[in-house]
Amino acid sequence: MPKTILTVDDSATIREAVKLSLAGLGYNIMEAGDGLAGLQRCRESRVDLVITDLNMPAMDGIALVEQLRALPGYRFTPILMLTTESQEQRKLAGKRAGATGWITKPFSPPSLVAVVRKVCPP
Amino acid sequence: MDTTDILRRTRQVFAHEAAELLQELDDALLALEADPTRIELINGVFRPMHTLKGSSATSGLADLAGFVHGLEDAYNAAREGRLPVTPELIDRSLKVVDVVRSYLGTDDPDAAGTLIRSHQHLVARPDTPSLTPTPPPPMHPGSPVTAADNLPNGPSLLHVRFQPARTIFYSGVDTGMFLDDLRALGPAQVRADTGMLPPFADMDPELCHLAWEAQVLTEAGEGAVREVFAFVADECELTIQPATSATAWLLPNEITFDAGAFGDFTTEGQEQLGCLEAALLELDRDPTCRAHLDDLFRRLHNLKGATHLLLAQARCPLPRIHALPQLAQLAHRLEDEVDAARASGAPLEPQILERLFHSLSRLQQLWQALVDGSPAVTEENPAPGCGAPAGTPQPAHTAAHVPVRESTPQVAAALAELISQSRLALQTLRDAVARAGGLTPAAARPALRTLDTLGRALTRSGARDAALAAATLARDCESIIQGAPPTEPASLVLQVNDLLSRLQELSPEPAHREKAATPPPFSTPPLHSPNPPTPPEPAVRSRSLRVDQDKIDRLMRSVGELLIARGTFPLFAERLGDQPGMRGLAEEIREAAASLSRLASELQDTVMSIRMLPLRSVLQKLPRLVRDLGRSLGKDVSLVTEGEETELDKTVLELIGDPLLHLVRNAVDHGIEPPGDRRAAGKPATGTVRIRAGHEAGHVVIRISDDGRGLDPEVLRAAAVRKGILTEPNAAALSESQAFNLIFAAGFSTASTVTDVSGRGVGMDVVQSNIRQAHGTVAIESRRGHGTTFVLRLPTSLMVSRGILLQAAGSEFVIPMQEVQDLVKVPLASIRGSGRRRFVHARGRVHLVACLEHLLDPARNAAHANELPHVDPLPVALVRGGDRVYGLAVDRFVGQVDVIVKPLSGDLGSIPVYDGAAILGDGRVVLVLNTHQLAA
Repeated sequence: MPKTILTVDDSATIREAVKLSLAGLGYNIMEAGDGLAGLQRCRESRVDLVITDLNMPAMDGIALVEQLRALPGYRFTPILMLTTESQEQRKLAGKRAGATGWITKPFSPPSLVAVVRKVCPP
Repeated sequence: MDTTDILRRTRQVFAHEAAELLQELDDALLALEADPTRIELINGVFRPMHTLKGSSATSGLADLAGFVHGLEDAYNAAREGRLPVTPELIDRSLKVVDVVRSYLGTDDPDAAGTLIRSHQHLVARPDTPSLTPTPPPPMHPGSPVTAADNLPNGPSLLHVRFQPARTIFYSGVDTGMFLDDLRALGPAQVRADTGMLPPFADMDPELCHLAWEAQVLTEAGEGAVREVFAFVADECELTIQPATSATAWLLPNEITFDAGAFGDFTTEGQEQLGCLEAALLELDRDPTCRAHLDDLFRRLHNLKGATHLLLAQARCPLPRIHALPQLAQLAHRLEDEVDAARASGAPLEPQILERLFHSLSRLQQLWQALVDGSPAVTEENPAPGCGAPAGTPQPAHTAAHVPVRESTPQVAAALAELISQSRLALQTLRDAVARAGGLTPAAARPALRTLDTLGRALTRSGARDAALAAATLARDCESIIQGAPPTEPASLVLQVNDLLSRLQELSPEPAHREKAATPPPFSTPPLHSPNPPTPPEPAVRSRSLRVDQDKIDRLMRSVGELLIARGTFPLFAERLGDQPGMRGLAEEIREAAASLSRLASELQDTVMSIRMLPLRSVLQKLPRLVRDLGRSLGKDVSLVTEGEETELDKTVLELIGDPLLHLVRNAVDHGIEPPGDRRAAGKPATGTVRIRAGHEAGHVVIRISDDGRGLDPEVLRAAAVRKGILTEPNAAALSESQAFNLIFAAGFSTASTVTDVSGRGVGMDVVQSNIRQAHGTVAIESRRGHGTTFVLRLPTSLMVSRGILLQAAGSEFVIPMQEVQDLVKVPLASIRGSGRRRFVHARGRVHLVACLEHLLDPARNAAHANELPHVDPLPVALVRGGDRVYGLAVDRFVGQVDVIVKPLSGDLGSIPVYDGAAILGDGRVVLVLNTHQLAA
């Protein structure tokens, strides 16, 4: 069964870029427009990797990570933060919440693929 | 889908999203204008602006992202209370929204870029000193970074030490990811620090016992490096420092230098070093020569200049062990020294010369280190033979203890050069002796100088016999200069010849070309000097010239025409000689023609030698192959090669590369037995594959032999029958050597199992066809239990060959010499058989005879099938066809000719029985027969 990757971002452009970059690698890709929707998706179905933005309406990325880690079955699921944030504090906050790593925006498709393959081999 | 596609399709989504975001921004800005202090309203502007920046960057619109970024910063500062929201800021923001809207509405990316640049003032950074400049996000590779406001000038080499907390793995962190991100900042070298690893027994595998040190050449600055490790900032010790020459590592040259600058430098430096060496050798010969001293100075000056220029162009601090600063320093010091010698006006002292030679070795050593990107040998530990330590002038009294210089290839090259020049001088001397019937003091003086220099160099290099010969000759010269009774001319010539042959042994020059270049004793003096022998490898490299092969071929063709044209002059002379009173003129033409002819031959030799390459280039790959192969088969095999310097035409060399590989592979795979079998047979456990190359009777002969089990004709015969290649009686009728030749048949393989090395039945037929294409032959010698030898016999060149001109069917044809075994004339009565099966008994063997005329046009001549010409005795050429020899009956043998074979084109080119067309000396064109195809 293909692994499922969830991209959580309020920007449709970024979700599209993530989807297109990972297309054809054998992943099943789902989208969510904010943290709350993302959490809902994870409750409804099994997700193997979450790639989330930090700044989002409704629920931001850090809150999403915290909530996910509390969710049964998501304790060890890799979560990558997709962010332009340059402040260390935000990254540290993300890590303390339980993020696995982060990808800097804008990302190049090959570099995204490299990181995704590392934390979630297809 | 490639990156461009992804970006293009992402941009389509972005166009829609951006329109929404801009609308949202418009509304949010108007709301904020009404109440500029409300934090929710400020956030309401910041968020769409932030999203717009992120999305545009992700869509590859770096210029737009940079543009929006400037304003986003201002709202971020406002959010954090560091900047008041003024009506002016709102005003500018609304204008930015308009600009972005027109940007998105513009199809032409150039115009869009211009639009943004012309409005850059709108997004100028707010003047807030407390605002820490944030580095711009790294953009897609290749996309222009317009927000270049934070970039420091040029890259800097940063030394990074990253020591994660021992418990870092507990938070699920993969430390490798950070190192990857670090490498994304620029060329980097990363080393692991394993100093903290506990003994294996005590190691807790869940803890991190490693630290990493990295040096990265980046324009991004320290902040960006810190940023890489931000995720683990609380769980690691991170130090980032600019690397200095004391801490910098030796990085690959492509990181340290700009490729163009480095390329320029190596070209220039190589030339200067080469000239430096030549100038020094000249000075060694004649220490008083001002011109060479000046030249030496100029070369050193240029070298110094080039090294300093490159030093200034280095992208990062150079480590102390880097060769470049040392090279620059040494060049500078030598320049000073030579300048001082120049100023004094006195001839160079021998010690100074000696020291210069040592310094030159050191220069060359540093040069090699620099080019290789390896650390320079430190000054404290000079390598053997490298002479005076740089920076400390060597005291004169230690000059006697200097190590022998012959160890370095450079010195070997210098010696070879000296030897080649001395050989020319000696040949001149010999000619002078021959002409004057003895040695005159005038001729002896330059000879003495040469001999002295040569003798010294030979002594230094340990060639004692040659040195002694030079010294003896030098004594003779000396006594003649001093007015002693002259030595017997014949004995002088003998001495010179003796020294010449000793020099030839020392020189790596292959013997065959030397023969052509050395005039016989007592010959008339050559009109011009013979080809100077090529110096060995290192010198060749420094002075070689890359030439398009087409140009050489064109030159070769012109030389061919010249060779043909020269043949007309003797004919003129002959005709003129018949006229009364013209005999003298005819004689002069003949003489002029003779010298023209000599020139042309020499030109031909030179051009052909350009195409000649040593066999070494093909043999080089073999030792590794044999080793790996032997290992994979569980056999011990050693490879011995002899005659690697034997030269062959490039085309021939290319053709035999694969066959050699096949043969060696076969020898290891099939020939050499496993060590156990070998021991049982009383042989050494280690098998030997030997390749010997050399010249034999105008051909290059390469023998590939193994001391393995040898070929068993019975097994071969049986295999041929089994595979349906031969019927049983036919197989039984084969002689031993014919049975050996079975292995060349396509599809023939005797290996009971097909290994992945050989034994697929392809290969041996390729061997034969390639060798044939190179106009060569391959023969097999084998003894059961003792090994097998493959003998490749190849022409040195395909361009000019010798051939036999003969007449048949009213035309003339040429058969390449290498295909002709013998020419015989047999009485018609002695020919046995009839029709297609006629035999002739010649040279102790029976050969099938075919009529050439019939073979060339079997259809027309079908009526009198293979009727032999009515010439008695009948001329029969015994030629090679396939693996046998057969007789070709012709009308007449005309003679032996030198021909230039040109390929046939058009319809003629597709007729296999013709190899090409040959142009004869008198300009006639005849066809060259392919005896292998004729027999087919």
